[in-house]
Amino acid sequence: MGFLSQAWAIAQKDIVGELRSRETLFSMLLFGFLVILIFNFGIEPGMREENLVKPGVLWAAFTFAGILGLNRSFAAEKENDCLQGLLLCPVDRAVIYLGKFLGNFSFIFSMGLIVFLFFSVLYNVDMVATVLPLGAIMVLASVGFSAVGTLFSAVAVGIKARDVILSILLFPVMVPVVLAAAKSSARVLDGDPLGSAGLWLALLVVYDVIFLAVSIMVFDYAVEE
Amino acid sequence: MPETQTHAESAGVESAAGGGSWISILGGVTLVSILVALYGALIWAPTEAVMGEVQRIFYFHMPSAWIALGPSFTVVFICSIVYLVKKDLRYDRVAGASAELGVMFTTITLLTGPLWAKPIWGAYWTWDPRLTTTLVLWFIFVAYLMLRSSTSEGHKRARLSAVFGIVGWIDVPIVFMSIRWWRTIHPTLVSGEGMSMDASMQAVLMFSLFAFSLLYAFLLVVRVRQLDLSSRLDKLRQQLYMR
Amino acid sequence: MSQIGFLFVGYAVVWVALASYIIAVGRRQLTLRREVERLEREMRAQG
Repeated sequence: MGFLSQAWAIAQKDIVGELRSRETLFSMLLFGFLVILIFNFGIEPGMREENLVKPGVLWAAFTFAGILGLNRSFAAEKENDCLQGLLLCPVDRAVIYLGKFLGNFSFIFSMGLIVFLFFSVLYNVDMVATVLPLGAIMVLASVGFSAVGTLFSAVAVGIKARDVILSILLFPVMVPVVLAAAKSSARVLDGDPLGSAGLWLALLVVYDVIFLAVSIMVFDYAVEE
Repeated sequence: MPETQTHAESAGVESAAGGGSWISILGGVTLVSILVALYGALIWAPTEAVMGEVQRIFYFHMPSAWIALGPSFTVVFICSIVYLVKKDLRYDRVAGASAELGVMFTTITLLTGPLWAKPIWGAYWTWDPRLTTTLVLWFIFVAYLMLRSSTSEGHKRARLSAVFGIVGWIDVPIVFMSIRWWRTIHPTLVSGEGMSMDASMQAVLMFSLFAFSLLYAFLLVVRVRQLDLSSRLDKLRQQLYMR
Repeated sequence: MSQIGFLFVGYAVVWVALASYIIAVGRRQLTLRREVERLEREMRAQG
């Protein structure tokens, strides 16, 4: 079995499991919607500054819901000792990382898209014009979030206060992702072409490449016994 | 046989507890340098033309920032990598000590920065890229220390801290770049520039930087020796009660 | 608060932070000292 197909097999296990129970996805979506709703009470629709604040709301919802998803994903692993089982497999640890990463990426990206749909309805965003460029931003942000999130989930798995420590570890490292995603989304929501946010997209790509590489290299040490 | 072993060990513990004289010399030189830097900053340096007396905070603010962003986190990064390769817990202890110092210097930077900004630019916080990056760095340091305190000492703690230390260090320059891009697009409030420094002021700044470097080095050595001693005591205690 | 006031608080912050760290390290050192002495006594008692 090739390297990628091994990773995909691991990812499939998570994805199929999730499609059956839908537990994690639903909690993430619900939480994301709630965050948008709560933020909305601090914003008057139609107020002058609305366009400045909107992207922030979207990405705050994405980040909080994403952390919830990561927590639940690894909690389920711990309960069934799946991680132990995986580690016993005669595969390269990098394959395990990639598999977990692909699984997490699918959840996070799907959640992000659906949260964006909810967001567009509430804020009267022209979905037809914005869904493709925003989808591209969502892909890049989800890659970055899942790359570091998967690694830190593995770090947090052995800690008592697992959920809290994951948030504390992840948020500071996510700053460039959230900033770049919010700034490029702001351009798109304003009606500018995606190219005008080129600098921020470049930053996202650089971040994704660097942290995927680093996580693959370091994952071994995070899970070794 | 066991007797001589533990006696030798206790002798080792003794010397670690007693300390070498070179550390005292380093400590003395550090203290003198800090006091000289203080004199230079408060009295010897001329008053800045535009900003006035409060600008003098800068002579201690900037070196703190430099130590926080530079040596303290880089030592954590390097020791994390070396620990993962060599599995020698000593490197983990150095990383931990350096992170504690990092939190201290970062806190000093974050408190002195606004105190300098408020009388000059009218606002405590200006989202200046360097200071904002320092704020994110503070959270990373604190997260690192919280990770360490949530597991008991040993190789597991060292391993997990090392992973986070490596990722965190790589993140800091990316954070700085992203905030800087953000601020060049929206330069609403003034940044940290606009200060004219003559030769004597630069001299004070350079000397203060030197004094803070000595301070960091001295405190690091003292704390690492303390952690070494603590570790040796633990082993000794285990040996004692195993019999 | 006047300029001198901010300056004073600024330097006070530095000294307080440094002092807190040094005091914390110092107290830990005292505890460790006592521990060393205790262990030495016990080792001598055990022969």
